[in-house]
Amino acid sequence: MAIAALLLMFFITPAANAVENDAQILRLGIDAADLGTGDPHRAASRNDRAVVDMIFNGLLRYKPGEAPQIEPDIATSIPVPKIADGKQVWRFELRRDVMCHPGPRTEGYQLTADDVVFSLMRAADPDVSSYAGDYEGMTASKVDDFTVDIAFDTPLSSILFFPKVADYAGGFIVCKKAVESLGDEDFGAHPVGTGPFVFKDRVAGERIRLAANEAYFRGRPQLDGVEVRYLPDFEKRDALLRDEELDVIFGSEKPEWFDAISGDESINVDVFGVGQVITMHFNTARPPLDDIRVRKALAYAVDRDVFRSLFAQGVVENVYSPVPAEFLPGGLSREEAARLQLDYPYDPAKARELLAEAGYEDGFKLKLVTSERGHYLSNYESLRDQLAKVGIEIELEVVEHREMHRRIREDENAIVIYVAWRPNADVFLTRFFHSDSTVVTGKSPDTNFSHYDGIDKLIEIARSARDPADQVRIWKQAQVKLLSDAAALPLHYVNLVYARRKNVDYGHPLTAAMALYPQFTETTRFKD
Amino acid sequence: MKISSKILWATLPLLLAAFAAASGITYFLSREALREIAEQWLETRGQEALQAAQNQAEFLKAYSLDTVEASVRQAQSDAAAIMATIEIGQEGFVLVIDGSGRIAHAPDPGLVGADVGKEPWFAEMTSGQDGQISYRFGGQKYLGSVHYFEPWQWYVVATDPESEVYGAVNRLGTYVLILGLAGSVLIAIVLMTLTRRLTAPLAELVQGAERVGRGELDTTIPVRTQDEVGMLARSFNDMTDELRVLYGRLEERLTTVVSNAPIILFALDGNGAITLLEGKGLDTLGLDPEGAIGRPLSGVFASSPEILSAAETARRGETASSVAALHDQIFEVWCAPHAGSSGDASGVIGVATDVTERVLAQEKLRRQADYLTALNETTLGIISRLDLDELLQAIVTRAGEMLDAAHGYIYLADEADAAIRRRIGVGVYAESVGYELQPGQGVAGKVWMSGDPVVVNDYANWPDRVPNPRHDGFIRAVIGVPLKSGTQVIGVLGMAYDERSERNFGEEEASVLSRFAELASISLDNARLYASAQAALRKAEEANERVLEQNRMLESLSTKLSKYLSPQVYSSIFTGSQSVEISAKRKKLTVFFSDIAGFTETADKMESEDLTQLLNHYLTEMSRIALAHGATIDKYVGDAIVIFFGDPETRGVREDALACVKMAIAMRKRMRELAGLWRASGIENPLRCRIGINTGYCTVGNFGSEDRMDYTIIGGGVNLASRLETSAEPGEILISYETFAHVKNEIHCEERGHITVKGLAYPVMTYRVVDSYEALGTSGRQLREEMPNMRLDLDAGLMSPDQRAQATAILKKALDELSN
Repeated sequence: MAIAALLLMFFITPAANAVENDAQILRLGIDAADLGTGDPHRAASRNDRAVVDMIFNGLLRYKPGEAPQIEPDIATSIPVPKIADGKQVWRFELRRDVMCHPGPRTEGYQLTADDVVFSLMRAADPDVSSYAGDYEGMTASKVDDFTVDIAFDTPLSSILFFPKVADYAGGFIVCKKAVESLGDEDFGAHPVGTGPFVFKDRVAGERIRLAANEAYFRGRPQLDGVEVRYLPDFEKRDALLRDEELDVIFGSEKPEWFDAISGDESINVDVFGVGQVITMHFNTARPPLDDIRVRKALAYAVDRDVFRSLFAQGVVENVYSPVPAEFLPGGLSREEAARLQLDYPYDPAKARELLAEAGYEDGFKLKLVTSERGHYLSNYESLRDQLAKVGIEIELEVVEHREMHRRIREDENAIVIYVAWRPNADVFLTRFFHSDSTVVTGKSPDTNFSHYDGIDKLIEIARSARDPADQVRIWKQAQVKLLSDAAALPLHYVNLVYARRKNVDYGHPLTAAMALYPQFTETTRFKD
Repeated sequence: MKISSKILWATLPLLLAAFAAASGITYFLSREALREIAEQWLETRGQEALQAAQNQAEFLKAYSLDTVEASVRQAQSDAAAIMATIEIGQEGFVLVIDGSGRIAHAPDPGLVGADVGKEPWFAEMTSGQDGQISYRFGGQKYLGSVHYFEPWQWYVVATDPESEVYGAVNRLGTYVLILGLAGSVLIAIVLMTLTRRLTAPLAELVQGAERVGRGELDTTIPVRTQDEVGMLARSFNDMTDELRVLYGRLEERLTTVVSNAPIILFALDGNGAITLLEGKGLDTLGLDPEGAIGRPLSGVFASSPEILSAAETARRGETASSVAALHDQIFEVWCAPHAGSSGDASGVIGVATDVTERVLAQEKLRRQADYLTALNETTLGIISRLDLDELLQAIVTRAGEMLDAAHGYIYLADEADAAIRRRIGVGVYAESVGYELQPGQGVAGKVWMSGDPVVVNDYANWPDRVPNPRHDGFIRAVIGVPLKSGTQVIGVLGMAYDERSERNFGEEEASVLSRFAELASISLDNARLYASAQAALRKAEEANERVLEQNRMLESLSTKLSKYLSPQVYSSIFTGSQSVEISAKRKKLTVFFSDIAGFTETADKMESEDLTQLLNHYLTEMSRIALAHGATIDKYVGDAIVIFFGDPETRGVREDALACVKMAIAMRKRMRELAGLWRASGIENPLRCRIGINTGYCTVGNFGSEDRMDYTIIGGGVNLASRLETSAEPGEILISYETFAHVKNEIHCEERGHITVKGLAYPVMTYRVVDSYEALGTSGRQLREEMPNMRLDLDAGLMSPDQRAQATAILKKALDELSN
């Protein structure tokens, strides 16, 4: 099959080239070595998600560039749930003008409930999907060709439900016939969806090409296609953008680059969400951090603004709860945290006082591993420098990124600085602060580096709350508790930075994108 | 107006008093009721607020958060947020005051933290139970419902300003006052309007009655109501309407009569002066009615003493009538005495009716009747004539007699109906018979084209005339009428007066001539029908002649054909007993096959002309024999002959078989005779036939395509006959057992052994025909043998004893010769 697909590419490529001379092809340079997979149910990396975002749709979608606002995508409207036979049922009516792209073994065809049910059940299948855990207890069933019921044994709120069926992770709808005819493996190599762009071909380690979907239900894209160039080397991307060889690149957070690029009249830098949250996790199970006074001392000893100054202006913003209030419901704003005196403002005197109270007036020593990558290394170095002022001595061991991830999961660091994005408050709290997620010792060890177990029940009742207002209230209470316990200190979130040539018009506002890139849609175009 | 004013002054004070009392009571009761309601819902809202706080406290307790300071604060803020969503009217809200008298939560963030501990009502709150409180805060009066929440030491107050609570009633007071005043004024206006509406129509009715009394019949009183007054007005209107219609109709009738009928209506006063003179009859007299008014009747009708005397009679009081001539007109006059409007007698009313036309019409009718009688009498003599020319002559002559006209003609349309030709003429038209006119040309052409009579009385000046020096200045008037067959104009009958005559053609003449022409047309039709019947008869005779001719041709043709067909077939086809079509039937036939042995070798040696002659001779001879035996000759194939018996006519299978075998014997005999003849003409080897005969079932009929059909036979019986023929020796007749079985009683046959035939499962027994027993009986002692180098022809029966002895010697010698 892969050979057939390759052959197909050979046949298509010359003809396509002929057209491309004055065709409107948007060239995107991103910081990955290659396409991992085009299968949306497996695509986990930021760069793979960007590609599948162009090829696939969800039942609902985050408004392009305006996450987390939700609007209908393949569905005709946003449903309200009903209870039937003791189950919570969400009924979706489908648009009738949605066409699957032609694939290597399938003609283009009208998307129906069969595809949607297949796709959702596929997302729930742990053998195929990386997101199967999000779909436990869900059944999708066809009512008629254009109506699908999604039922849950345990009711859940719209805040938790909508992301499951939006254009994100397992919510992307794949075309059944294409998957069945290609097999899961080849489908990953040649994804077939319904989105504005159709997968055309790939040169391994170099580029993939997407063509405009002539039959796209929102209208044919104004662009003729998109070319994604795999350029892990930032310098190279930067140079190609300046040489007009690329139109959009994944940028850098470095202030130097910002200064440099701002001088270029033909280039615009966009800073937008959603931002990955950088949180400092304290291991509450290991001395000396098992003493709450020590943890609070650490919190008072660091200054968010100092961390922030490592990045270019605007790229990084402070956060005051593990769930970023800017992007997700359930987070605490700065004002709320301050009112509850949980914002831990920089106060080295208080830090020293607390340390003394805990018996560490002379400080202590810690050995921490860190990744060589920017976000980590600079934050850890800054942490080291700041803690030195209160007498805490940190020794850093710089290791490969992958190595760091392995070692922090083996509970090696008493303080873990972790950069992550999660789709909702429940996932944030469950994976970082539920005792089941505790590294090494948890039931299903994940990223609870704090060994924290103070909000298990709150997380669980929030998860099953049906009224979104109640749910938000409980999540906030959970974070009030964990901040009171100083289990972690949220530092800031990192916006995405993309640079574009000024003639590129994304065709939509750009404040936050779940797809983690500026989102190319049918309205994206080149300005004259 | 007076009535309405009285009603107004009587009712208005009463109304005002009633309104005032009602408003006062309403205001008081409403205020009390509102207070109760307000207290009730403040209590309810207070409970709701308290519940919010309790929920949060329970939540904290449930998750052991009640000791976490931040969690408690967060929960309190959540509770306050929920309380903020509780709606209390437009201006009400939930206020939370902590135990120290500080405002913990309020919708206005500016109030949060304010100390109300010094307020007297706060003391009331802290000392008392939960319940209602009325207090003043920030210069405003409030109603409130207080609940104390122990865990957080919160006083939860659901409160609403009194201005809102009683606002409705306060506003109501003003509204009631305004409503009372407005209502009173409104009722007063309504009363006045009602009164006016009642009295106004009555006044109108009175005025209307007065107008009708004066004779203004178009008076209409507006109907404004459905009440009794309205009904009265409607009845009044109906009455005047009816009067108006009646009057109008009378007037109209009179006017119609007077202005359309040919009458003169006049009236005289007591002094004999004309007071009225009207009528259409005046037009014909040219009288001016206006000028005559006031003049005596004698001044107008001086020339008619009959009218004057009739009027005089009427003046005396009697009705009179007479007939009077006025100028050229004839009038019937009727006069009667008339009492004038003032009642004084001796007035006269008179009517003179113009009867001139009637009198003239009667005159004319009489004349026409005379004409018609004459026409009828004399025309009958004409129309029975059948000869066209004779008829035409009679028509013109009779028409001339009728109209006393010396000149006349008849044109008839030619066959193409493109022109008309003069067929006959008398007087001046007699010379130009055959003259042709196009449609629309001259009088006749116009009649022909239009189908209507044409009259020209001033022919000399008629612009459309056809110039002719003999006619111009001589012909005075011409009339033409159409001659029709059905609706089609087939000709024109014309008559003319010359200058010597004083007469013109009038309507009457036209009518008489038209009728005559109608009658003449009928006889013309008859004559033409007769002529065409004669022609048809002639044609039928000619056709008959032609058919006879063709029959004769056919007869000779079929005679020629018969040579190639069996006479039976020929006759059955030509007499129609069997139609020529593809059909077949299965029948038991006796089939005969023959050919000439060694014919091919013989033929090779002969010139083709000789061969044809020989063959034709042979076939002719054979055919003759065959037909003599009643055979059906199927076909000749070169020298071969196929014959069968049993179709189309059969004498029975047995007879057919016998006839066939006898025919074969006859043929063989004839061949022997012919051999001598042929030898003489140079054919050294005698021609000898091989013959095969079989009797069996065959399919017989017309076979072939639609274009070409053969009447022939097919089937196993045919094949067997053919096979027998090929098995026969030259000069031999070979028959099958089936045939043998039929003929054995009359024909002497010898067995010749079995042969096998393709298509037959079993061998067939064959017999050689010797001769008929009949022939054998009479010439049994004949002996004829012939073979190469030997011929024997012995007829012992005819021999004398000497001859026999001589023959015996010859044969002995021959025997000796052969045995050596």
